[in-house]
Amino acid sequence: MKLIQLITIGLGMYGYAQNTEILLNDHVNPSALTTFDTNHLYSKVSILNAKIGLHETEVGSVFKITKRIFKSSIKQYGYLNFKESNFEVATAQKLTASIDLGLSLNFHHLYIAESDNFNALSFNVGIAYNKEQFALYVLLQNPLNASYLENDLKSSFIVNPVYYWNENLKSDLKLEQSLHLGLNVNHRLSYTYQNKVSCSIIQGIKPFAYGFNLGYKIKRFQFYSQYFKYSYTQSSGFTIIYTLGDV
Amino acid sequence: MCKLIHILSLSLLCISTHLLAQDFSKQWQYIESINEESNTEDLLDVWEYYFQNPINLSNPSQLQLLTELHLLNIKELNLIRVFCTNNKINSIYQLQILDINIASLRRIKPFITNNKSQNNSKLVRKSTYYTGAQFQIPKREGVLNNNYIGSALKNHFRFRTVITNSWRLGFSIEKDIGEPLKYNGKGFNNIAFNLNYVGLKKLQQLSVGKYDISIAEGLLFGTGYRINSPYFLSYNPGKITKSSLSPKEYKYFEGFTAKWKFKQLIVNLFSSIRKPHGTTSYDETGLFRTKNEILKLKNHTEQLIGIHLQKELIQSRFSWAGIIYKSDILEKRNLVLQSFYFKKNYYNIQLSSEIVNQDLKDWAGILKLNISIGDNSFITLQTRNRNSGMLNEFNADYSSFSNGYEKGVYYAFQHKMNKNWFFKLAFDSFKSTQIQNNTPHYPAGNKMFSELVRSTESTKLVYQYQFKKIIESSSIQKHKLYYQLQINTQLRWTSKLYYITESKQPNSSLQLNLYWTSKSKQEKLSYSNSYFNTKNEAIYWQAPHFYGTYNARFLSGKGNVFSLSFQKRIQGNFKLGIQVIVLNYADRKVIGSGNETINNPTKLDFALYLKWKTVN
Repeated sequence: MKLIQLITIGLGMYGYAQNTEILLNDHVNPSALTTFDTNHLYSKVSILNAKIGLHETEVGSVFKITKRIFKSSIKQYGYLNFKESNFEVATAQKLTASIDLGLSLNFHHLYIAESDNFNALSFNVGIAYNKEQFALYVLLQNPLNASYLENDLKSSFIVNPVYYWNENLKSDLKLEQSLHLGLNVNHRLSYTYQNKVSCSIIQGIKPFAYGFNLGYKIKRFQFYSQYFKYSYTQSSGFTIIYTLGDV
Repeated sequence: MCKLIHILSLSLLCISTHLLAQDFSKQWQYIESINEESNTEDLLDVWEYYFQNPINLSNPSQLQLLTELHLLNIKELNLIRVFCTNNKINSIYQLQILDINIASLRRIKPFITNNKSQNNSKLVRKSTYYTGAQFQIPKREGVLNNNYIGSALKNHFRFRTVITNSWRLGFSIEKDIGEPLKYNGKGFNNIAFNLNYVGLKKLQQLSVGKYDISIAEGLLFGTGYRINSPYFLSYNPGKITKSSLSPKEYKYFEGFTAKWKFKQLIVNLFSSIRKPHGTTSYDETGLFRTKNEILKLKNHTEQLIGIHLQKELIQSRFSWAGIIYKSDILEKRNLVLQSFYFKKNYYNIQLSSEIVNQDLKDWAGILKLNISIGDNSFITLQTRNRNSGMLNEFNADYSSFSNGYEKGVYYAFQHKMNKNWFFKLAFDSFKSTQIQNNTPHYPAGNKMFSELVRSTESTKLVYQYQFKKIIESSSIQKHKLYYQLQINTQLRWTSKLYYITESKQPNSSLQLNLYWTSKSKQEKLSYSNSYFNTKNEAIYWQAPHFYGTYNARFLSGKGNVFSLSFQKRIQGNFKLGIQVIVLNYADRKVIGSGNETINNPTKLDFALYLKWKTVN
């Protein structure tokens, strides 16, 4: 019986082997890139305030060059008179069967109307540990506290344990200690049905927030729709992921 | 001078013939998972002492000393005590038949023996040498402006050796950043020396030099290392006086001690004459770098002479101590101090009490009832009281509330639910007996502590919650989450999350430690990082243990801290360590104030050491 359970868990883990859901996260831990086998293109749009046009958009790809997986993306946050852009290149290396190391480099650009533009360079380092039903991710985001001027780029430390209850259900706890904003804790419970339909409930414990995410997979396309309610605003968004190569 | 110390260290090394490098990795791993806010340097001193003077399991009177290692839980201690008292111990490996985790036995292995006739056996000459240096970049204003008398280096040298089976020798010298090695007219900086005789006849111990006194429950004197303060379930010091090479600069004594054993009666005699630091009160900073600071250095005289009589019966213990104490810093007259203690065991119930008095005028007392329920549960109930006039400089801490002037009731319960789950619950109600300038003039309050632990062979998860409320003050709540994962035989991971609220203001930190050991166990690498964001409560951070460095600090404000340390055995003989700690603040442009100012939001602390142990 235990053997069957192990096999089902193993199959479940294989199902997650290309865990494209991680592309939905605000901060992709680069060490998680080792789970990707094929190339992907994706695009994300979130509307934070339709009235003033405050939005967040991201276009990116995950691709393989000589057995090494890379991720590159361009992300923009802001509205007409204020735009913060980020160009990211990330890669990962398997250190042992269960430990992965990832690194990403970021170029930040800040545009403020009728003001000087600012640029900054930063990097993120991630480590992942995977074992059967459990995974642990650590991300050091901008550890040197690089800034446009002073303390204006996010610098945080994220510990992210993930537990797979079974092949369909997983819990994802994110503990984020930000240099500037303090502690942020949230939990995501995700359910996948036959690797076609997925839904997630996100509960922000501190600060209080909640959100939903619904996903559907059809051939090479995955579609996700998201809604978040924060204490100060709400956002809705849409993500498309296109898989190149074998599905 | 640093060079001189190095040359001295190397020449001493030449004496030895066979070398053995002993580290305490297993022990530190355990301590880090159960404890916080401990002075690891003092604990290292305890372990090195018992490494050189192993606890003899064949001698029932030495079994109590196992508590001082702080490496076993109450159940394990009791099992070993009962087993060793009722059985003939031919080998320490006999302990393996007990229901004790093998990891626990491995932890205490370097500190135990079953050698019955230690004095007649072949001489095993164990020696340990340690030399270390530390410095900071950027330098402090006190160094840059030459306000500090000494150099910008911190140096430490320590040496212990077994001269014969009966005689031990130890020496230690330390200077902090900005301090000189020798003061004009006031002798050397922080220096410790001791010479010990260990006997198996009536005279069991004789020593000269720096030492600690731990009497009964510690109401009067409890200067020995205590790990579980402020929440303790039991305090049973194994030794009344224990020689020390710890670099601590307060709460210690210097002089002669002796111990005799006449059947059931144990007599301890001790005396101390030293020059403590301080002007109107004892100085606990240990920093004497400027002309003003030196005014506090060895400024007064303190004298003490005492006798401790203890009668040990099968199920009970009685002791009395009489001490004459005089300190020019406090009252410039002789104080007559007495301690009365009794302990009675009745099956699974233990009742103990200590009453102390000063000149028969001021009193303090503690009454303790411990009940073991089966193998897995333990209850303790304690009540304590102390007059404000009572000597308060050397007592053990009884709660995290106060300065020791207090009365209170403490009760705690711990239970092992099954192989993996364990919980602890403790309550403390207290009221100060010393008047305060501000209201409330006699602060009173209560504190609650709870801990839930899940441990498996490879993981440990601990959740702690503390609540503290002092009447007319805001409450403080502390949450701590600790996770430890043994990834494989080479790699270990620990993470800590602190979340503290005071006056509804959040303070938090998140920490990661990684420990790597090479397959040959010749190299060790430790990494730690912590991000902190505090508003009104400092948060505790402790880097992985590194010899000779007090790696812990309270952090306030916004910032992050990284540490990286590398330790390597060279040809199995020497051990070399290098460490760097980077502390970076995001909310300030300078660190510290006055002479300690560093004109940068980032500072780097470097430490390196060379250590070796010899057995021949």
